[in-house]
Amino acid sequence: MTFQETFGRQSFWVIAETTDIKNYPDRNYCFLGLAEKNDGSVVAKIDAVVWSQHYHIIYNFEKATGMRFEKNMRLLLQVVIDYKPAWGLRLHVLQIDHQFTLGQLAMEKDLTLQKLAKENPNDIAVEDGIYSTTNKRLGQQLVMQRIALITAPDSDGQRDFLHELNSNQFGYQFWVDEYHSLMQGAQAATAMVTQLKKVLQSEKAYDAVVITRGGGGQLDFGPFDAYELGLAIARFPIPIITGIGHERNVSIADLMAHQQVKTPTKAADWLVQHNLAFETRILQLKERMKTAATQQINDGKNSLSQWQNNLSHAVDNFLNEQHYSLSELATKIKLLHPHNQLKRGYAMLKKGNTIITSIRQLKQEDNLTITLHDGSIATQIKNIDNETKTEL
Amino acid sequence: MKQKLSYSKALAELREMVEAIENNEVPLEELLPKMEKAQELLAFCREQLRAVEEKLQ
Repeated sequence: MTFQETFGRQSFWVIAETTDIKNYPDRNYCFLGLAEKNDGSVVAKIDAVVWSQHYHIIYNFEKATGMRFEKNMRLLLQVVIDYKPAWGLRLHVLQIDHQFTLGQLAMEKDLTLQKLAKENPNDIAVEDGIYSTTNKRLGQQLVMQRIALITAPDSDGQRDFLHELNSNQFGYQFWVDEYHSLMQGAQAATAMVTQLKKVLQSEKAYDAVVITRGGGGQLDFGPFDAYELGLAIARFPIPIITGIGHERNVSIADLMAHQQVKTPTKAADWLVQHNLAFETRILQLKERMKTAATQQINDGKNSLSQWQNNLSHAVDNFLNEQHYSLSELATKIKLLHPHNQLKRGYAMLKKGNTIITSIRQLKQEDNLTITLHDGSIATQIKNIDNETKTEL
Repeated sequence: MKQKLSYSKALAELREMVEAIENNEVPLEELLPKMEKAQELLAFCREQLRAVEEKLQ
């Protein structure tokens, strides 16, 4: 019985790790080295190929998982077995189960998160699935303007971030220092950690560190799930904002950072909005101060107006009282005038210019003037009677 | 040196004068000069009052 007669076009699902990839996108085929490992040692291996009629499964895989199709990946593959005397035994790959890979990634990410929290309890805590890190707990500057940007040089992420920041409609000014780093590939996590260290070594008083990665495909976010980057972010003493262009899920770097947004543009917008919130608070305070000052001025005006009224009444009362007093005094003066006494039948005696009030001032034959209310009489004393007395 | 007369001093003097006359504390020979002085003080006070009212208008 031949090999073909035994297996025919029967397919199998196998789990294997890619040990080698020779991808030819322009020719639409890809050669793979597959292996089964046990504790890191290869226990079985076989070559495989994705031919052009199935080549789309690689695109689909990368799109679904956000990962590059490369070596050292553990995959669930649907294959048929092929044998050619010239090539030997080889598997033709028909499908790649991306759910299996996503599951693997999720599991690895969970394990990394658990390890981070377990080994660094002072910097990373998790409660009800919410991560609290030293970086998250940092206070924010009221205004964030001095920014350290970790990004790939000449990348879309870098351009998008800077453009959004520098063309903000409010005219806010920012000072950005760029720290260039690999953002993809096996060395990216270490490179980003190195740049974070450089940010600290600069001893510049940055208000925030922004890590951006954007543009291109939605691939190779592995570095952002790395333990060493997650830990460096969690412990970092300056607030870190991540905008790494991850549309589907949240990376470990995002979970550890002070603030996570989806894209570089949104990272810039977050900073602008942060500063806008401060300005808005200031403007509101200014408005409140203005209102309070206006209120005080109005209160003062009302008070003065009240006092003016009071004063006016007081003056009126005072003047009336004065009028009354003067009238009263005038009446009294009038009543007390000797002329009014004379009218009542009294008479005034004068000897020369002296007014006589006692008979002791007189002697017989003195010439006197008697003044009544309507005229005077000249007379001479004939007799003085000392005994006449009138008691009132 | 004669001090400039004020309303309050004139009024006080006027009151004092009237009280003295009412209480028969003024000798008769001083009565007429006192009465004339009182009339002067009264006129002064009224004039002062009128001037203040005019300014307040």
